[in-house]
Amino acid sequence: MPELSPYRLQVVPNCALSWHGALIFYAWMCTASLGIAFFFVIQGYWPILPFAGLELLALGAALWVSMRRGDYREVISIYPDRVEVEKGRPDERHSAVFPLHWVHVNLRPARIASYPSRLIISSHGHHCEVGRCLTESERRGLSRRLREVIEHVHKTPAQRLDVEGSPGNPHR
Amino acid sequence: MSHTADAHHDHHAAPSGFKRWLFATNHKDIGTMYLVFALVMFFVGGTMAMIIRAELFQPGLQFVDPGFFNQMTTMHALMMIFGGVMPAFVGLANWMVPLMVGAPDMALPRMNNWSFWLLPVAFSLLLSTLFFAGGAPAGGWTMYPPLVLQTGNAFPFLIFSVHLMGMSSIMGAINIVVTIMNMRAPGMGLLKMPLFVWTWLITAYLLILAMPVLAGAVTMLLTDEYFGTSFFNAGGGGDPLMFQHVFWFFGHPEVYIMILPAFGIVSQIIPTFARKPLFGYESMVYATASIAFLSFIVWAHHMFTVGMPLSGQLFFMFSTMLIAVPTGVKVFNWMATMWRGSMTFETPMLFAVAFVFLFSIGGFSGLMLGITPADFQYHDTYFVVAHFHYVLVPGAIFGIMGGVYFWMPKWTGHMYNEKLAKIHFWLSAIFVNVTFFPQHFVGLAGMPRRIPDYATQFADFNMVSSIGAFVFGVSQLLFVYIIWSCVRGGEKATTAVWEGSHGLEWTVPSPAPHHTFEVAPEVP
Repeated sequence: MPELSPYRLQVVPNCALSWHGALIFYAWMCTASLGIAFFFVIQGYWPILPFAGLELLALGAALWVSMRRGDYREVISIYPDRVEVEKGRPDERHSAVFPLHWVHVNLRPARIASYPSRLIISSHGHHCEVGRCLTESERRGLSRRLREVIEHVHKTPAQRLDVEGSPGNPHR
Repeated sequence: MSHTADAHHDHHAAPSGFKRWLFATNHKDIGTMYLVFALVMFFVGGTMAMIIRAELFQPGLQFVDPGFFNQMTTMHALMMIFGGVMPAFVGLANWMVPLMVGAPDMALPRMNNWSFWLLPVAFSLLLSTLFFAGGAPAGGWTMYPPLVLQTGNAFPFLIFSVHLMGMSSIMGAINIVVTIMNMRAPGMGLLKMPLFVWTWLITAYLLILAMPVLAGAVTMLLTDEYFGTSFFNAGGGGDPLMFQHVFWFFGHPEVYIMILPAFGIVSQIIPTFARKPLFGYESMVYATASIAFLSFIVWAHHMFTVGMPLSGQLFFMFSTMLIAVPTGVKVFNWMATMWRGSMTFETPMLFAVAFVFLFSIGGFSGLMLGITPADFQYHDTYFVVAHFHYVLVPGAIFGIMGGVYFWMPKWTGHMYNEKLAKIHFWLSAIFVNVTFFPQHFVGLAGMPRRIPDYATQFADFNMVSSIGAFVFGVSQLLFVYIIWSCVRGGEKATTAVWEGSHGLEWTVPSPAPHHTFEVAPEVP
């Protein structure tokens, strides 16, 4: 018997630049900056080169951090008997499965007010955090949506569920 | 049965106390800190300018000895460039770029915090040299060797503080570039970005390309002084003139780093108060990019008199002339935007119109200086001082002031006192000319720059210039009062603030909440 279609919530951070675009941009910056630095190295002023290199490393690291955030995905699938969470980047995906009837959705406030809250899905001593790339209001929205869907699936286990849901706006 | 245990907590309130500022990662808090820091530095640098103008009020030595006078000219420039103008623009970028592109914050908020907090450290180090035996650096902000190597104990502090300022600028630039490139709201294509964002993107490129050159140059000064190298030491086979080439390779893009964001601000203000879209948006973007490119191939026009081949003189003269083309495109587009617009002249618009007019004067005197044979006459005279002050005061600083008046209602939620602001504008606009216009005349008549005493033939214009400077300086206290009173209260600002306002930043409430665009906005 085919499995009932789940509710699927996908959380994706907003990212305006593709990896390809980032590479082109970074290559252009490297060409220009190192071009200038090597021009001075040829004149004998080599100390400019390490500063250009350091700066390009910093730029590359900043771009990489920002782009890696864009690769992140969280897919929360809610089946009649379980909640599956698959999250991470393409090269390191983690998944967790929780029985629907025992699952807790808990939005924990941070101890320091300016820090973000944490949205935890848990059961039987296992837990999984979701919505880390979201802002506070989006995380609250996701929490509300998860509770609604789990409640709904719990009440109507035999019903075919083929509606795809998403939090208010999956994009950050 | 599923359970939920949401415990709501209001994370949207801004944290309070000194930790809010010390550990700030919110772009608005950091923007505010940058702007306050810049304002303080304007007054520190401005006080130095007052000392300079007091000494030049009449011929002879009245108040300070020549050594201290040289310290004041050097420190005034460093304070105003690296402490005033650049942090003010970074502050405006921190506040407005995320709001304009629909991002919830800067791309790297912790780095943003670090890049700000380097600045007070850098300037504390630099200002502390005023109390050293031998005093603060006095060889000019350009740090030409071998003069700068005679600085004494302050020298390594100068180099270290310049490194810190550079680090701060680079981190700020990287953050802005990554924010603009990667955090634009869906639908916010590059050619939909507001001009202020565009000009800052190009400014950040300039910073990233130019700053390593400055860092390398000052490091070579340091190694020449303490580690026995001879990059710029003629006695060891080096060439002190090459420092000028290396320095101005950084220095000329730096000039545009200090003016391009002002172009962006004016390009936001004029369409708002002319109630018309900006004329020639794309040509403005291309003109900005052209100016940025040309800024890297004109550096030697700062040093025509040091001696260079005729071909070099011709190349740098013509490439300098070429900058007038994209700059002319910009001035034309601003005027075309105003043409037949339903213009009103609130304070931001007054500053923007004054910017267009007075910056053009600075641009024209720049063209005069770019003509090699003429520059041989003008070089190192007060004409140069008049030129770059016209570019930087009614140019960059008027741009900043216009931007502050334009966006302050969005920041504070209150309208500023329009009557007082107009008085501030007129005092500034009149006395900036009283201060700097006569300097053209004394410069053309041959008065050298960076001197505490001068021939009596220059006395009258110098007295006028000093009076202008004092009134201009005092009138800036009014600016502080207007900002202070606007922060404290006033007429409630609406969301759109201005009748002709257009853009994402005007869709968030006034004052802008601590967190904005938590849900990515729709860009039409």
